[in-house]
Amino acid sequence: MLLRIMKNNFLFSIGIIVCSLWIVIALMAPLITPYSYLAQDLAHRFQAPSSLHWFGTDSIGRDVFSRVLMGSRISLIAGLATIILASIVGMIYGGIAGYIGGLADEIMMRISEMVMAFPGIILAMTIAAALGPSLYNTLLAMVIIWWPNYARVMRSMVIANKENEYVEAAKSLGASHFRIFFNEILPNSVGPVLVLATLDFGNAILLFSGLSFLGLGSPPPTPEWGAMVADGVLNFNYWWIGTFPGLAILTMAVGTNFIGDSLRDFLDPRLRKEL
Amino acid sequence: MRKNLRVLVALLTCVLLFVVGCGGSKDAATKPEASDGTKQLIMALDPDYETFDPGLAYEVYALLVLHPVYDTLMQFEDNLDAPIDGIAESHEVSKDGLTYTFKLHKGVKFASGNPLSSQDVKWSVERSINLKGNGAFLTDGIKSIETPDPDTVVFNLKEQDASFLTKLTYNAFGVIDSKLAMENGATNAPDASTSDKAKLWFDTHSAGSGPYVIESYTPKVEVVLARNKNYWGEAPYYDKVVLKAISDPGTQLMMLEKGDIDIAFNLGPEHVKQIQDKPGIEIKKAQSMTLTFLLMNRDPKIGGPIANPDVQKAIRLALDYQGMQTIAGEGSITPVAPFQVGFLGTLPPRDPKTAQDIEKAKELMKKAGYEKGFKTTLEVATLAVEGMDLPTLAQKIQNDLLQIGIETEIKTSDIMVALDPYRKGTQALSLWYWGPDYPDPNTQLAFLPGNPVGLRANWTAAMNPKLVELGKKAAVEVDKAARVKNLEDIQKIMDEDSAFDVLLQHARHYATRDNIKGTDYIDLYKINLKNVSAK
Amino acid sequence: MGLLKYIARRLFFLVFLVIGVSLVVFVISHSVPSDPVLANLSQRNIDNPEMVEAFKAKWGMDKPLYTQYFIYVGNLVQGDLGTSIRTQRPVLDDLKDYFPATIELAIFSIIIAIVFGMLFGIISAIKRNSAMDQLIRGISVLGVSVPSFWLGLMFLLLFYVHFGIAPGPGRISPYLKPPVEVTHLYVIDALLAGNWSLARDALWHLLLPGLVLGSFTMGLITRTTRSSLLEVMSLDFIRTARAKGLTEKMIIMRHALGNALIPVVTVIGIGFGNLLGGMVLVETIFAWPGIGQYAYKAAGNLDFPAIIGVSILISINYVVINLLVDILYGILDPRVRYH
Repeated sequence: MLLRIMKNNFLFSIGIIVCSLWIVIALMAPLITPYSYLAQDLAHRFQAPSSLHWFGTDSIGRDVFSRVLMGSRISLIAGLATIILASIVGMIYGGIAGYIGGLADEIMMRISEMVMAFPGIILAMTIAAALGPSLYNTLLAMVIIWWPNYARVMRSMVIANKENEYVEAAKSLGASHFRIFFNEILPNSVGPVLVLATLDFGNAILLFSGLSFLGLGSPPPTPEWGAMVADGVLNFNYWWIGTFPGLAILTMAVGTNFIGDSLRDFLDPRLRKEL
Repeated sequence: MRKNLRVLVALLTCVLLFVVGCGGSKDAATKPEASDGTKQLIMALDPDYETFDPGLAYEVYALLVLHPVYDTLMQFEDNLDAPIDGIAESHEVSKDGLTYTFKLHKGVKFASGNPLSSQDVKWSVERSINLKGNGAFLTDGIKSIETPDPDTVVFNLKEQDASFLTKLTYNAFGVIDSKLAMENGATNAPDASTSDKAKLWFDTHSAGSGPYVIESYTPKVEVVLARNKNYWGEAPYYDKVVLKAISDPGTQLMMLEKGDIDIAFNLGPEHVKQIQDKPGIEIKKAQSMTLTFLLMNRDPKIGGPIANPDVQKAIRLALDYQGMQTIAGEGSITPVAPFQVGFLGTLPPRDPKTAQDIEKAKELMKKAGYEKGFKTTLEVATLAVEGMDLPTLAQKIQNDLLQIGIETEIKTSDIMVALDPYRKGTQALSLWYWGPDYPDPNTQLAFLPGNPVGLRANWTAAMNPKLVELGKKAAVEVDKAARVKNLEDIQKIMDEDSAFDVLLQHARHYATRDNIKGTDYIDLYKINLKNVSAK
Repeated sequence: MGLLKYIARRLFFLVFLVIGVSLVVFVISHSVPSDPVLANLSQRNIDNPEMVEAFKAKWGMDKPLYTQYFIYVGNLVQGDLGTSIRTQRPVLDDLKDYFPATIELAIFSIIIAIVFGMLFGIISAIKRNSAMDQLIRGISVLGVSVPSFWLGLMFLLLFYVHFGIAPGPGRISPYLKPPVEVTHLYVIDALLAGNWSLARDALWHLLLPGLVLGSFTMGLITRTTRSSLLEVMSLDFIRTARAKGLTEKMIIMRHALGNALIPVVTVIGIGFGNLLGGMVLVETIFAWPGIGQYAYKAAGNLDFPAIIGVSILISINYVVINLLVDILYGILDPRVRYH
C-alpha cells in the first residue's frame, strides 16, 4: 500500500524519504559526525562553511554540522515523547469523560476546554521559569498543553462506541464497567486518536524547538536545534550558526507534514472517490 | 450569498493590492533630516528601567535617563576617580569625617519655574530614605540633614564613610521640585513607602532642574527627553533625545548601519568586528566595571570537594583566561581579585598567557586527595553580561575543568530562580556577575569573608581574620595613601586565598554614527547625555 | 437550543474560565521553589530582612494563600487586575499599552493568511493533481512547518540587512513620532490623522512580522479551502451545474465557493487563536512592543499579577473568537444546531 501511494503522490514520497533520512541520521549520529559535538576550538570560532566544517563553527569553535546531526536525536525523542504521553493522558481523560457521561463529562470537558484556551506558551514559560529549564520540565509543559485535543477525539469515539451492539451484549452478559471499558470500548476507540497523534508529530517538534529557542529546553552543551537558532540570533552576523539548525527543524517538520497531509487526503473517504 | 461572496472577493483583492502597492517605500530606510529643524539624538539600548521616580529607580540604565533630568550635589565628569561638584557650588568635610556641608548654586530654578532651595534637597533625600526603594541603602549612613539657610545643606553621618561623596551622585540624591511633586501625590513622610502615590506620575513626567525633562515614556518602546528651557547651566546641543528600547543587539547594529539611529549601545564583542570597515560608523570601546566570577563554596556540606581551598586554587589555575577573554571580546581583562581596574588602589590585571598552569593545578588536586577528579554541578543564570552569553562561558569552563578531572554538569536557570540559592549560599560552584553598587572600592568589600557576598560562598570571617581586619580599615580610611595600601594588601591576600575566582572584567562595546561626539563611556551614566553633540 | 441561549452559556463559561485560569497561575505561583521577592528586589535589599518584610506586606504576600486568592478575585470582580510587581503599574494599564500592537499585527497577518490561503486553495482545487496543485500544497505544508522564530531571523537577515528593501524591527521607523492615539492601531490612527506617509511606514513595518506570523494560518486555510472545495465539487448540485454546460471557473465562483467557505471559517478561528500564542516568538524577533514580549518578561520575573492578567486576556480572546466563529458558522450554514 505504501508503495502504491508513493507512486501516485510526489509529496508523500518526499516526506517518506526525508523522514527516513532523519531517522537514519539520528540512529547513526555518533558514527557519522566528523567532529565531536562538544569539541571546542577557540582558535577556529565563527568559521564560515567550508570543506572542513560544512556548516561552519559556532561561538566557541564547535562544528555546527556535527551538532545539527546530534540534535536530530533530541528533536525526535521530544516529539515522540510528547505525542505519546499526551495521547495517553488524553485517551484516559477523554475515555473516562465519555464513558461516565452526564455531569462529570460536562465538567471534565469544560476543564479541558479551559486548558485549550490557556495560552500554552505562557504556561510553559512560567513552569520553566519556576522549576528551571530542563528537558523534563519542557516535556511536562508540552504534555499539559497538548492533551486536550486527544481527550476530545477520544471522548467522541467512546460515546459513539458506547451505543454499539457488542457493548450492549457484553453488558447483558454481566461484564463489569472496567472490563467493558478496557476490552470493548478502548480497542475500538484508540484508532483515530493514534492517527491524530501521528499527524501532530511535526507540530510537536515545532513547539519543542520554539520553547527551546526561548531557553526552556535542556541546559548546554546539549545540541538542541531551537537553542542553536537562538545562538544564531545572538551572533546574527554569522548567518550559518542559526540557518542550518533552522533548516533541520524545517525539513523534519516538512517531512512529517507531507506524510500527514497526504495520509489525511488518503484516509478521507469523501475525497478519495474524487481522486 | 453569491453577491456577498463577490463583494468579499473584491474586498480581499483591494487589501492585497494595497499591501503590494506599499512595497515601494524604500525611502523609509534612511533617516531624513528633521524638517522642522529640531535637533534630535536617537539612541538604541536594551533598557532595564522600571521607573523614573528618582526615589525608586535603581536599575543599570536609570542614571542614563535621570542624570540629565535631576541635578545631584556631586557628579562625575570624565572618569570615576573622584566626584566633582554638581548643583553644589562647593563642599566641605569636617575633620572627623562625619559632617558634610554643601553650598548650592544661587538662583537655580526647576523646569517648572519653581526656585530650588536646600529644603528641596532635604525633602528629596528624606523621601528616598522613606520610600525604601532598591537604592535606599545608599542613604543608610545618614543620621540627619540640616538646612541652615536656603543655599546650604548639611549632612550628618552615623559613622565615617570614605565613599559618601560618590554615593551622592546617585538619583536617590537627585533634587526634586518638592512643590510640584507633592501636588502629584509625593511625600517624604516616614510611611512614604505606602503613602507616596507619585510613582506613576514620575514615570511620564519629571520634576528636576537638569538640562532635560522627561517628555514621554512608552514602556518597551521609548523615552523622549526634551530640552529644559529654564536650565541654569550651559544648554545642551540637542532639542530632543530619544532612547529607543531595542533589546536585540543584532537589531541595534542593523539600525545603526542603516542610519536609523545615532548610537547602538548594546553590541556584543563580535558585532563590532562586523562593522569595522563600514563608512559613517565609529566603534567605541571602554572598560566596563562589570565583573564575571566563579563562586566556590567553602562549606563542605554544600560544596563537597569544591570546599577544599586547594581545589579552589587548582580551579583558579586550570582555567584558560586567554580563551575566556577571547569569548568576552577585545578589551576584557582579568583582575586578580574582585576589585575593578579603574578603581582606587586596584592592582594590575593578570597576564592571561601565564595565568593558566595545568601542572600545578593537578599537583594541588593530588594534594587535596582528588587526583582522579570528581563530579559536580556548575550553576549559571541564562543571561548576557556586557554582550557575552553566560552559558557560553560556562561551557568553556566545563571544558577547561575536564583537564584536571573535574566533570561538571551545567545547570541553567532564569536569573530570578538562580538568585535564591545564590543568596542563601547553597550553590557549590556557580558563575555570577557583579556590577558595583557605586563607583568606589568600598562596594567591592562585600566579597570579603563574613560580608554579604563572601557569605554566599559560606566564607566566614573566622576563615581569614586578617582579611576581615584589613577590609574594616579600608572602608573608613580617609587618608588616600593609607587606603590604597590597605586595598592592595587585600588583593594580594585574595590572590592566594579566595572563594571567588574573578574571570573577567568586561569591555563595553558600542558604536555611534561618526558625525556625533561626546559619547564617551562612563560606567555610572553609560553615556552622559548632557555632553553629546554634533561634530 | 437557540442561538441566544448558546451565547449565554458560552459567556457563563467565560466566568468559569477566568476563575480557572487565575486559580491555576495562582497555584503554580505559590508552589514553586523560587520567590517573586527575590525577582524584584535589588541584591542589597534582599539581604535586609526589614526591606523583604515591607515588600511582602506591600504585595499582600504575608497573608495565607487562600486569603490572597480571595482578595485577588474580589478585586477582579471590580475590574482590577492588580498591580504588576515588575512595572509597578496597574496590570490593566500595561495591557492597554501592549495589547493594541499585538492586535494590529494579528489582524494584519490574518488578512494576509486569508487572502493568500484562499487564493491558493481555490487554484489548487481547480487544477487538482497538476504540477501547480503540488506546488501550492508544498507551499502550504512549508507554511505550517516553518519555525516562525527562524523564518523571522531569515527575513530580517535577507530583506532588511542584506537587500535593504524591508524596514527593520519595531512598529514604525525610529525617527518618526507615533500618531495621536485613537484606536491605538498605528495604521488607522495615522490615516485618521491624515498622515499618509506615517500610515505607509506603519503598514510597511507590519509586512515581515505579518508574513511570518501568518504563514501557519495561511497553510491551514489553503489546505482547508482545497479539501472542502473538492468535497463540495463532488456533490450532486455541482454535477447538475456541470451538466448545464457551465465552465468550471463559473461553477466554482457561483456555486461551490460559498458552500466550501463554511469549514474555512472554523479554521480562521483556530488560526487566530494560534496567532496570539505564536506572538511571543515573533514579537521577540521583531522587537514588537506587544503582549507577547510583556508576557515573556513577566514569566521570567515571576510577576504573577501580570502573568495572570495576560493569561486571562488571551483566554478570553480565544473563547470570544471561537464564539464568533460558531455564530458565523450558523449564519453561513443554517443546518447547524447549537448544543
